[in-house]
Formats: sequence, C-alpha cells, structure tokens
Amino acid sequence: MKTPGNTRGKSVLSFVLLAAAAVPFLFPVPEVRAGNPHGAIYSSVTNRVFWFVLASDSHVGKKNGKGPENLQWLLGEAKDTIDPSFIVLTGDLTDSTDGGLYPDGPYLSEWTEYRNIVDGAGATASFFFDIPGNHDAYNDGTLSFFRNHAIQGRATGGTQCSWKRDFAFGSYHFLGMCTAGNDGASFSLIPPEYGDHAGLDEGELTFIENALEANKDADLTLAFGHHPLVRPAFTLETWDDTALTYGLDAFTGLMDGYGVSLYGYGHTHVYDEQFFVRNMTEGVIYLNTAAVGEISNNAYALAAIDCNGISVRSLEVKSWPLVLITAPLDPNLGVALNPYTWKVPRVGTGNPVRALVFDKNPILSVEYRIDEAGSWLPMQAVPGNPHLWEADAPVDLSGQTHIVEVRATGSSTGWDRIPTGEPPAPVEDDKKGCFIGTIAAGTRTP
Amino acid sequence: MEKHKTAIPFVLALLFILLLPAAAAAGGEEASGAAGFNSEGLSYFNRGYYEELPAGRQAAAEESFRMAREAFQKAVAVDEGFVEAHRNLGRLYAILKDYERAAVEYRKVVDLEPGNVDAYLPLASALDRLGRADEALDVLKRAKTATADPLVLKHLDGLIEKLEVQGGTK
Repeated sequence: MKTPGNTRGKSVLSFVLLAAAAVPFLFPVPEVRAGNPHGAIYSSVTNRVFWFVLASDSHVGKKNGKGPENLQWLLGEAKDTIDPSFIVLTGDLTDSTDGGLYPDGPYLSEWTEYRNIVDGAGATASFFFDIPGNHDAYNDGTLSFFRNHAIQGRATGGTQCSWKRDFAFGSYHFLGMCTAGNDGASFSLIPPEYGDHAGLDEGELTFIENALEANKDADLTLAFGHHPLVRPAFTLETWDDTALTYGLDAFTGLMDGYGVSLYGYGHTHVYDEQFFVRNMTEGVIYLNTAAVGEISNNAYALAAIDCNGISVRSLEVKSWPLVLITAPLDPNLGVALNPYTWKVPRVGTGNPVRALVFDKNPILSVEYRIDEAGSWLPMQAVPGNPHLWEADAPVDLSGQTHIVEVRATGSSTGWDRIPTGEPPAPVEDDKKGCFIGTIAAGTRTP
Repeated sequence: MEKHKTAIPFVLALLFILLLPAAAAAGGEEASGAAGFNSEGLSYFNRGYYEELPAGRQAAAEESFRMAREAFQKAVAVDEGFVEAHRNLGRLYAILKDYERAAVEYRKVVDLEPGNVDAYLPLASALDRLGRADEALDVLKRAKTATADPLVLKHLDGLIEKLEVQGGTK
C-alpha cells in the first residue's frame, strides 16, 4: 500500500542514495598515488642518500630566548658542517611579544632581526624554507610581515611553498604549508583556541592539492606545517595546545590520496615521534620538532632519506659529532612496527650498516656493534661521500630484530641506536578517533 | 469614509516630507559619528601598519598613524563610551611606544568592559613596559575576578608568575 509516509521514506532514501553517489564528485579523492611510502629497500647501495634539517619555533624577540643565537648557529656552523640539502623552519619565526608579556605584535623590530639573521647567514629561497606559525599570525590576517620579511614570503609573495629534490636515484617532493589562521585574531585567554584559529582554508588546500598533483611523479612526499593536526589528549603539559580547527579532513584525504609519508610540525616545543592514522588508509609519520628558540637538547632534527627509507632523530645545538643511522631503518619510527620502515625488502647481498656522521672537527673513528654485545667494529667512509660511513655486519639485519648502535669519535663521542625502543601500540587519542602511537623523545641516544 | 481615504495619502506624504530631513541627518551623523571616525582610523592604521611599515615606508606609515590617531581621538570625543575606539587608540599608542597614553586608553577599556578578561592583558602589558610591574600584577590579579574558567585562571597564573619571577619583563 502506498502511503504518504512510504513515499516520503522512498524520497528520503533516494535522496540519500543520490547524495552518497555524489560524494565522490563533491569531494573527489585523488586516484593517482604519487609518493610511495612503501618504497624503501634494504640495500648495500651507498649512492641513494640525502639529508635535510628540520627546525621550528625560533621565537625571535622572546625575552631571554635562544632563537637568534641558535638560528645563527643553525644557518652557520651547522649548515657548513652538515651540508644539508635544505633546512625547514616550521613557524613561529618571531615571538610577537617584543620581549613583553604576551604576543601582541607583530613587531617590525622582531621581523627585522629575523631577516637580518637569515640574510646575514646567506640563506636563500631555494635552500631555506620558512613557514608561518600562530605567533607570526596574531593580529596579522594577511601575514603581511611574513610576506615582507621571511625568506619564502619575499620569494613567493605567499605563505606556502613547494619544492623538489631530483637525483639520479629519484625525485622527492616537499610541501611547506600555512596552518596559521587567516583571520588576524588577537591572542586570547579564552580556551580552547586562545585566539589561535589554525587551519587550512580552501585557497591553501587548493595550493596543496595543485602542488601534490604537479609532483605526483615523486618517489616520496613529505609535508610540513606549524600546527599539530589534532589536539593531543588533555594533560597538565598539553592543556593549552592548539591544532587545526578547519581543513583537517580535506588535508588528511590529500595526504592519503597522494601517498604522503611524513607530516612534520612544531608548535608544542616538544620533540616527539608518532604515527597519525585518523581517516587514513595507513597513516603518516607524525614528527613533532621542538623549539630551536627555547632549548638546547632536542632543539632541531636531522632527517635522511636512504634508499627511499626515512630516518630521523633530534639533536642538541652546538654538539658534535652527530650520528644518524640510515640503514637498516628504525622499525619503530613513531610507532611499533612502522609499516614504512619495518620488513623493508632486501635488495642485493650483505648486511649493510650505514650512518651519516658530521663533526666540525676531524672524525677519528666510526664504529658499530650489534645487540649491545661484543667488540665495537670499525666502519669505513664511503668513497665520494665523506659524511656516510658503512660496514657489512656479520649477522642478518633484515629481520629488524637486532639492536644496532653506531658511535663516532671526533670533537667528543656521539651515538645513535635503533630500534629506538618499544613504543606502545597505537592508542585512541582523547575520544577523537585519532590513533596515535607515541615514543619518548631522544631515545636514539643510548 | 471616502473623505478619510483621501486624507490618508495626504497625511503619509506630509509625514514623509517632515521626517525625511531628520532621517537624512541621522544617517549623516552615523557616517561621520563615532563609528565613522573609528572606521576611518582603522583604515589609516591598517594601511600604516600592515602595508607601509612592513614594506619599509616609514614616513608614510607615520603619517598614516597620525591620521589614525586623529580619527580615533574624534571617535572617543564623540562617544566617550565607545570601547573599540579606546582599544584602537590604545593599540596605536602602544605601537608608537607611548605606553603612558596606551595605559590610559586600555584602562578605559577595562572600565567599560570589566567582564572581558582579555581586556586586562594589554593594560598589564603597557604597565609592564613602563616598568610598573607591581601595577601590572594588580591588573592581572583583578582579571582573575572576571572569570571562573579554570583554564583562563591557569593562563593568568602563568602570566602572574612570569611577572613575579622576572620582576616585570622590562
């Protein structure tokens, strides 16, 4: 029997079905996967490696801050010694306090100091990728000071950037995004956003999508912004943390569709390796860089891509030598048994151990050992790459069940170690349906 | 009845003629009144602070700030209780590093909006920049009476501690 109610029910059902069918057209999910986070191999090949530096939160202008001093060191001695492919500075370039009580800027004096530091160090737009944070955006909705004084702001006239590194062994795409709010709101005492209306608007998302599409031939894609994607669980340490308030679902959809491997951010002033999977097929390495303007330990991070595998660790400013193991990969990078670094396929023979080693003084020795036992064994510098050291271990390391340690002696003795530990299994984060595993900072140093 | 019908349009037309000048005057007053002056001041301020100053056009910025100050001053002269105009004038003075005048304007903002906990911050900041940390502390402690939100109170306690530990940031 046909009743008005039934008719309405069918109409509603038809509408729902029609709407469901239209969803892919309204919110198209990219069909082409660009980067391949699963592209890493375990190989004795030594000419498929490059590295870069991640820093955040210089907070130039903060009273008693270390931003100017550490930024100068990073762009001077560290750049000269590490010789990275590029440096990313993920926001809060300035403090916006002018040494005062709270961020009520922007202040021309802070931006002039920042500009003098980066220009004085010879930083260029093809090498130094600075993006805005919330402190750069308070009371400045158009980010006028950023556009006039930051390296990328001056070079592009915009607030986001996209760059690529092409080698004989592959192409790698990087994105610098503006997660800072665009409303020019003032800092506020009112929770939960405190005036920090972070997010990615339609224009910003279009830039990101266009950049991903234009670089879909890249082997790996890594994205950087200032803010966490979601607010962390409420604790005494995180009570005033802020995160994206709009654009999150669209951005995670783009990361998923284009195969982004890593999202790196700052903001919290804490170094943390996690793995973000909310609304994603597998997820991304979720890397939180601490504040180069606030602390010395864990102040910046060094990342390497070796045979398409990502390695990263936090470092202390003005401390040499520094060591980063790049093969085998850390199976627990951000989460226990990271899908991109665990069970990496072996290609070729041997059990290579490789590490990048940097020191402003001559390196006297580089050694390794397996499973914290036996003698330290020598490693050799790779011909043609003075920073890369290698050895062929006597045991099969491809199963990723061994502890690998490398120590270098130069100015002092520096260490690295993998696995970093046994991070907990992913847990649900604060009722948001966001599954994130976490590992304590700095555990790569024994 | 018919006579009344004829009279209605006449009365309406008469009312229109009588009230039109008054309505026009009211509209004109709105455009050039406190809100109009405040809006004009903001235009000058935004041009000076976000276009000319970051681009290094210092002289042009200073002229824009002078025009902005005049407009904001006219706004508060027309309406002494116009809180936005006081806030804008306070910010302009603070940017010009005239913290004495900034504190005067920000204090008016607090007096006009005692329940707005955010209003206390710029006043405390201006006093702190004047080296009057004790007064800045008093302002922040007074701000605590304007809220019961534990997170806002926690934030205020952090700022109070910052001032107490450092004896002021200046």
